[in-house]
Amino acid sequence: MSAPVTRRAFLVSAGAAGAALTVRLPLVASGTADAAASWDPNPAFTLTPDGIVTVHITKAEMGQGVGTALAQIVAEELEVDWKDVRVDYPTNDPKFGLMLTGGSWSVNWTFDTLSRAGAAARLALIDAAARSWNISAADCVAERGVVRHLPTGRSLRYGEIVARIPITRTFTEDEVKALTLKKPSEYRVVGQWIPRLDIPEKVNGKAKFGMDTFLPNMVYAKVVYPPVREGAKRTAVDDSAAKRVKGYVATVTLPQLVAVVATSYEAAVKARDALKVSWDPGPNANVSTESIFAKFAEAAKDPNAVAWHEQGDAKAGLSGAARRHEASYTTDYVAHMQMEPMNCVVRFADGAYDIYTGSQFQTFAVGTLAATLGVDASKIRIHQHYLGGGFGRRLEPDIMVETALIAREVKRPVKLIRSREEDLKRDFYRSATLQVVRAGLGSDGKIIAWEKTVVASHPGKRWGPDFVDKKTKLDQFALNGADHVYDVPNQIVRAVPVETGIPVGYVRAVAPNYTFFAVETFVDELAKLAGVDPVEYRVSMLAGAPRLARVVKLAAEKAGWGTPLPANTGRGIACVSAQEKKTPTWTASVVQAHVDPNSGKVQIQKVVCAVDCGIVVNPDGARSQIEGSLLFGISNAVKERATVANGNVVQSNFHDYQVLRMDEVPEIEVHVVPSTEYPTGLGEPGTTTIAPALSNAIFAATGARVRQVPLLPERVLAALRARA
Amino acid sequence: MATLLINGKSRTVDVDPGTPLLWVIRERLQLSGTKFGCGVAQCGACTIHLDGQPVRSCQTTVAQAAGKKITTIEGLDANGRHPLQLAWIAEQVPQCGYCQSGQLMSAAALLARNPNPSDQDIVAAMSGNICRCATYPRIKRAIKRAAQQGVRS
Repeated sequence: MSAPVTRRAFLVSAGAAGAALTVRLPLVASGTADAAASWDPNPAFTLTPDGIVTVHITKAEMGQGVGTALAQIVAEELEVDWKDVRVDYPTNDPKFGLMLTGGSWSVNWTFDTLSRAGAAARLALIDAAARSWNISAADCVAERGVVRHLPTGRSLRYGEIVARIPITRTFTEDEVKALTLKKPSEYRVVGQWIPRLDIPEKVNGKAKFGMDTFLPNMVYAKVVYPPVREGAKRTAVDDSAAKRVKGYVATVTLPQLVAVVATSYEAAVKARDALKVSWDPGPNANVSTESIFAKFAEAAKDPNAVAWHEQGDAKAGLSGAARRHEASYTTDYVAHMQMEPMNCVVRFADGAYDIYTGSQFQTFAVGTLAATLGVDASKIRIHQHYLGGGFGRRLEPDIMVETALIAREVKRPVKLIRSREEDLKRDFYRSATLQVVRAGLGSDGKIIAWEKTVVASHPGKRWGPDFVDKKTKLDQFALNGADHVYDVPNQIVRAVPVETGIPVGYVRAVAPNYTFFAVETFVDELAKLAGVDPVEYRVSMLAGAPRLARVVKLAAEKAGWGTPLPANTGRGIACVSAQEKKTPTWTASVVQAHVDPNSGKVQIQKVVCAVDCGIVVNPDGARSQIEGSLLFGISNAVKERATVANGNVVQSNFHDYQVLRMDEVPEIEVHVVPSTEYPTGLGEPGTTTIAPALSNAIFAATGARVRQVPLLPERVLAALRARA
Repeated sequence: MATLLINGKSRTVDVDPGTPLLWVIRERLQLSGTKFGCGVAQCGACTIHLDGQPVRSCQTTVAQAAGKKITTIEGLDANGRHPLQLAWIAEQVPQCGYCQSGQLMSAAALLARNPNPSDQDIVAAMSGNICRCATYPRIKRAIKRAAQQGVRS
């Protein structure tokens, strides 16, 4: 369903379109006239008289351990004992600014802000204690939740200060910016191995996901979805049989949807099955994988394709090149397949909507819901829960909109749970893509010209005008990575957005999944053409990105690059500046794989990954994210493929849309480069290295070049046969 | 009406005997640690024990469970301190956590019948449980850790 998007939905619209994104967090430690039951120096945390600091995590906890990491950042500068730190996940409020979780942005966007929020509050607490002692704050220090007067040894705990002493010191924004923060060598909490706060309740069944919401008098809804993903029109609804189902409550027929409501999930399913809805399949009824790729092939020839990235003169560079090479790469649609199917509970009462779910983008959801329901944004309260997987799926507000519309009609709390089949067919997929790359090499084998066309559907267009570039109308999140960091003097990257009838969204690691597949496989092809070792070739063109060159060398060294391997076994490397060129996590992976020449089946034996993400806030959490991102990449690279027929995705559940299982997990080795640089993110970059590194490994093993993701056995077999 | 013996307690529910046990456990009895993931026994998120055997509750009817001992994640250990739960924390296994109840129930059934499983035993017993966050290496380590501690105690 496409909901109208209001400007109100975006507090940082320029940011969403790609400019520098920051978190708007008022940082001034607000004064309280009297001592209080609790102290809220800023929206980031609350201090209570028991000395407990509750950090309000406005990022979605979807397994990346963000709550623990962000709380560590606050605790470091606030100087509190870790045992006194708690987290919560608050309901949306304008005071929290942009509530958006994605892009591996969370630590990168908040590290400085939360550090300063903690530091300002620490100084305000010291000031309060000093005033109560009638001494100079300069003689006091704060450590582990206690303010100490150094000359006398007098001390006050933070909790005592909050309970008894007015905290009056305030900071202007400029003063906050001017605060001196700790040096990395002084960190006591950041960089420490600290167990994640969300894990204990995730092993005993107590963690509450959106699905685990139960409200009094709650009923269950099922929506009848059209047979074609986009463009079908409802022509008739007959609920006479549905009404006879035991537990039936209501049929909801709205312009946006038709649904049945019943007293239990099973009854709602039965009533939905009994509901007769007729459809006009609309203009997309014949859309198929084949028709989409045919459309892409046409689009790639578009002479008016917009340049997204350009430097030098690619045309002249190509015509003057000693050697030229061209290749085309395709990737298929990928579904999110987060373990918790999309679901939501909504209670509509007194003109307001209480929404119980897990959201990655509350700010957008509030705007969309308010516009759709015709209420003020203050009437939308999203009660945040743990996310049973996000991966970008829970950026979308579709399930909230459907549930709210139904709840408004039935005047009882409504729970809407999509089945896995519905979840897969109503997904917003990673776009299928076609990328055509040409390059010209100088006589020394180096790349002197690079020309690339990226054909894909762009999610941003669907999200609204704030999500595409004002001038080019392109969505940078459909293109990031195509602007690689190799030293190539002449480059042009053109983009052709194509609508297909299959809606696309953001899936973990987003565009760099396919852009780096093309870039890193093509660079390997060029290395072969130049007769240079792939590691050496890359490093020779990374003078402008020394941190990337370093992880390339590190991964290669740790993987035993160049040492002999058995027959049909090879190593491939890929390196990326994901997720964005401006805030890259420098990542390189070496994949070692064996190819069965008879079946084309590929077995990944080992992945060695080297990462430089700057300061690491939580080392084990970082490792966990890198491991998971690499394995997600393997799943994408070897097996995940959504195909289209009759205007809809063909697959329906985990039997025909397969994801990685334990028996397919190779040995994973992760090396994180120690660093004091400003932190970037870790949830995604590793994912993007796998498909190209694997394609390159298959080439190293067999001489066969596979240019389609996923790298299915039949595709490997075809490449093996085409080799000669 | 059906009477179910769940985590040592007798519970009576007014449902059709053909109802999947999953929906009764989760939505009627609100033991929400057992998760819905696929509905077709492909993902393992709804794994529970029926007389100690791991089963997919989405494919088990109320009628099939009658008279049998049902154990859910909430009943795996009275204090939530089953050796596997402790090992899961020690190895920092969960990411999003949604599949982990099912993973733990499958692992507990494995250790009950094979206290010292090999890597292959673990892979064979656990490959029916999907973790989209791919915490598999840590799951494997945690099972081994729990097995080792079980041997010691």
